[in-house]
Amino acid sequence: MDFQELNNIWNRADESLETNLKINKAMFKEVSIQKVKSKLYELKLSSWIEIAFNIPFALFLIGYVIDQFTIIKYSVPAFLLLLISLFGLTFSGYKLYLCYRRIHASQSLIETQKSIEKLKYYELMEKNLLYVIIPLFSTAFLIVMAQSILNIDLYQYSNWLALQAASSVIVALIIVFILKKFPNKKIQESLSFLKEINAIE
Amino acid sequence: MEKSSSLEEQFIDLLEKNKKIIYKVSNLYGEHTDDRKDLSQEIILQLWKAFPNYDSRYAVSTWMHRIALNVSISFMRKEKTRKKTVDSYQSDQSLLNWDTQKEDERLTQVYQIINQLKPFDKAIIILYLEGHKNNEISTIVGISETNVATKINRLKKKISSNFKS
Repeated sequence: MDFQELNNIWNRADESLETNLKINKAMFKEVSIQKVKSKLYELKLSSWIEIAFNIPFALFLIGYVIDQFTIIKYSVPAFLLLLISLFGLTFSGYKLYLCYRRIHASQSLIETQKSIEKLKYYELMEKNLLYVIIPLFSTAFLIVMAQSILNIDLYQYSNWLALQAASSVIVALIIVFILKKFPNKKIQESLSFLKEINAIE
Repeated sequence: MEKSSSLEEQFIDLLEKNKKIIYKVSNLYGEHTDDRKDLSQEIILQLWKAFPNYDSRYAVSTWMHRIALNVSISFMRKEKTRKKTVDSYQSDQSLLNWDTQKEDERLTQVYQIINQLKPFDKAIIILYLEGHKNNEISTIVGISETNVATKINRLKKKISSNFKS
């Protein structure tokens, strides 16, 4: 059998398929009433929640940095937190842009699959990044929150603060080591699929 | 309510006329019978979701192929333990029913051969076999027409050599 024969078999099959295939209309009517589940719904929701939390937090930090601008011991940690918060906002915004603007099954295969895979890759990378950012910036968070909410100067407890800062850096380093030593299989798969898509273009 | 029911009728009519597309695509991208059933269901649901925004400038078959192939490639890449789309329905029910007993054996063989191709190559060959022109394939897949022509020639050779071996 050669390709021409394969082509003929494919075309001949149409007639029998026309007879054998049945659309389950009753079931469709039932299913279509239900809301069609979207795989991206969860992702969109989590991105909107991230934005909803990050905007007031960033605004609070901007105000705090302005207020404490001359007091370096407070303005520097607050500025670091502000950078993380702005990074989170940009990231969530980009994910939503991919979800709403770039991912439509009615677009070309390459474009849609690339956007889906990018989204998956960024999601995984963000998760990995958070594992490092959270312990690394926990000290800055504690300093700013203690001063702004409870009006406590954590620098008074310098020994405890130094221990906290040192241990959070160690935790972050250990996490980086683990992430490098055991790279996420899904990230690797995502990257190789993106490479495959790029090779087709 | 009346409007949505008329939309439903239009959609079912469109499905009825183009059901073969869903069957062929889900058969080529689903590994087992259950996967194929799930995939055909997922394709139909995504088509239904996209139906209100259907752009009549494109041929129905182009629109359906694009969605069906996009859904299939994504479906293929999901974990095997994925959650089923329509949880509340029995597994033996499907939006698209077909009698496997009556399936042409040679067609099954054709499916097996095409199944060995990579996801995007599979999409290109399906579109070619379905009679789409190179410019249409180029629009659906998102690669240049020259690239389509080159790929089709390579794939034809590859398939023919697979037949021989």
